[in-house]
Amino acid sequence: MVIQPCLDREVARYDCFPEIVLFDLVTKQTILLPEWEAAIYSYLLEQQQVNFDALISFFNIAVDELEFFEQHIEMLKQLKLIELSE
Amino acid sequence: MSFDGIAIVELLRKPKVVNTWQDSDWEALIEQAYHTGLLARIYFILKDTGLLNNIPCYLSWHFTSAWKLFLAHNQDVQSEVERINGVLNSTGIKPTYLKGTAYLLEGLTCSKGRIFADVDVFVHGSELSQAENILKWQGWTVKELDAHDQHYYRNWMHELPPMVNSKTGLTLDLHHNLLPIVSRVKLDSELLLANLNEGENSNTLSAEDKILHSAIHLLLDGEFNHGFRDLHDIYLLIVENQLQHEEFISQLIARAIELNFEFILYHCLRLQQDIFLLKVDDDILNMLIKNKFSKMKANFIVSLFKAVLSPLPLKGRYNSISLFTLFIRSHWLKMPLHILVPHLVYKGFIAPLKKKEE
Amino acid sequence: MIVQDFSPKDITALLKTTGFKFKAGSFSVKLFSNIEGLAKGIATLYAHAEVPATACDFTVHLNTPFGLRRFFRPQVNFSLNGIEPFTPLPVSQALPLLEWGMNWCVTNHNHELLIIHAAVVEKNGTALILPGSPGSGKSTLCAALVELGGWRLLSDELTMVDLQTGCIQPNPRPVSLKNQSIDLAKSFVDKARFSPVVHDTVKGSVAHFTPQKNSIESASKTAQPKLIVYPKYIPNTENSLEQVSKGQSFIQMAENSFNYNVLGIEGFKALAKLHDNVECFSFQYDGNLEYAINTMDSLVR
Repeated sequence: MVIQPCLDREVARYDCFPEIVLFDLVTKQTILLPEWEAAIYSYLLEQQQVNFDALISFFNIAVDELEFFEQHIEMLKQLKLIELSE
Repeated sequence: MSFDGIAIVELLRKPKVVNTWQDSDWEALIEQAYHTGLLARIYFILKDTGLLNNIPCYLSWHFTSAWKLFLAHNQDVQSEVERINGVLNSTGIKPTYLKGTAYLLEGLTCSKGRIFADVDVFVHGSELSQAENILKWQGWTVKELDAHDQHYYRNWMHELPPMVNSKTGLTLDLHHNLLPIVSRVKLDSELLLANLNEGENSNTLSAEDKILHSAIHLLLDGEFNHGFRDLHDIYLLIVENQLQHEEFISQLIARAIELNFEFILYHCLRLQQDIFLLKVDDDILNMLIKNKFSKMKANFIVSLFKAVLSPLPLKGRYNSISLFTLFIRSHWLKMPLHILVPHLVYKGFIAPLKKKEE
Repeated sequence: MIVQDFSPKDITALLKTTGFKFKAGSFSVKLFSNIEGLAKGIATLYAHAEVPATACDFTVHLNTPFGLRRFFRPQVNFSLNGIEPFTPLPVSQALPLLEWGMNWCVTNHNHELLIIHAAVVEKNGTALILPGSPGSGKSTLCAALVELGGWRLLSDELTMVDLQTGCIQPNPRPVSLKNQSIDLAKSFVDKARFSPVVHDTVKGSVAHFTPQKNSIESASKTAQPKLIVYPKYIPNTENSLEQVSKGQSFIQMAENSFNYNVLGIEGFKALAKLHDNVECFSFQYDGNLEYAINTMDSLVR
């Protein structure tokens, strides 16, 4: 388990492949990211910082197909839900 | 009644007493601490005085658990205050926090371990409807009340019906006056507002006014569920201020005289002397009575309050008679008779019947 | 001394005067009561429980309120040191009210443990956690495992996870049964171990039976959780045992916990540690208890 800063707040994370469980230290909410959300979340964290609130509301939209993976990233960027750290 | 020998009172008077305690004393303390809601405060006091190790190991979870609950509560209230400030500041209203929330925001000793259900917020009468509307808009909902209770709150009392933040479950009491509007004891809110501790986004009452405000509620509300704790809050407030200015008690008395609350402060200080052994010079105390009321009547009132403020779980008849006398007294002080009688009749006869019909 | 060393008459006398102290699971209670017949129920349900000489955790009063109500449809009130969390109930429900009240005492005040609404039993050093919503057959399955399957009862309602070690702290209290499951359990548990059935409570008909002696005597022996099984009783169904993802289980356990919110990050860490070491299953069964016991046994072999 690690505590990981996102762009806007501190979040604790429990990895149980392929899922991730997140705990928001501010609102004390626990959120389960199923397989695809978890993959996107991990990918995004590797690439850049994530705006947590925006990401979570985004995940309420179904994300379930592999070939849309890159498109989703693009969409997130366009919607300014993520910020590039470069 | 005497408070000597009651475990929780002995501990609050002089924490070192726990050095001599047996298991049975701890058992009594835990009983009384649950009853008065002071477990977490006692944890803080014992920690602060380096006496935590005296708690028998197998009982320590009571104290540490209460402290954890306080920490969670503290965090919830802090974020609730941020939300309320955000909402009210956006319409140009700067709220004044009262009681528990104020102690917490100022980081006062009496806030350590103090758990409360209501966030009390005061806004100016002219800002009231705006504040109410925007809070409702932002997710606070009003608890359902019948028509009588609605009328009671809005026209006779000093606060709106409680609002609940549907997301956090915390209750918000929005006050538009610091005492009931129709009270026989008059308090000009403007006088308190002229003397605030100003913060960036919100205010609290000044040190003297916080004590007087708490004492007024303690002695006039007619409800004593948290009475012993509230009395100890006042003790801690006085002691903490005295450490900063030696003359604090004199300032407090001067303020009480200025606001016309001599008799409230007098009774409150007498209780502090008797229960927590607060040192107050008789000369100073006498400044508060100055032949305005008889000492015999004062002694009688003090003894009634001592009976209902006991930290021992309620038992016996004397207590219920005292409770009833003080309930009538507090309502008598709050309301003119023509309002009081129908209200008591309603509370006594109509409301209980209504419950049965449901 | 244990409760069995006292006659119901002794217990009644103590309940009315200085209070009767006994160990209810891991916590000690000092009980005061003016209710006739309560002592007999306590003597049955807590027969093997220790009567401690040390300080107690909870001082509880279970009394008929004063006044005319005493004679006309008398009621019973539960009070912890003057705090009354429940509306009074008919006096016939005194014993169930004591059990519910004791659960409230623990779940509302102990935050040194993560407390989850689940049964938990142990075999060969392995603790098996059985979370379950009402009607899932959790209590019946738990009763069968401890009475027929040779498992040790740790608790039938409150699974208490030590925040430091992740081990389960036992809390062996009377096993609670509802409605049809009462008669079913009576077919394999000695009837003398049961409290009388109480009808028309908020949970329907309710009865409790006292745990086995060895469960009470090894109440201080913690156990390492290695299995979480979510039971679901469905009549005339096909039995099945399926793996549940750890993430799903994590969320379910958080939702079934009484104090996860109070504990905050500590609770999250405890659930994370727990899920590091467990396998999670959902178990759908048709009520065949022998089959259910064999299935659970196969998981610890």
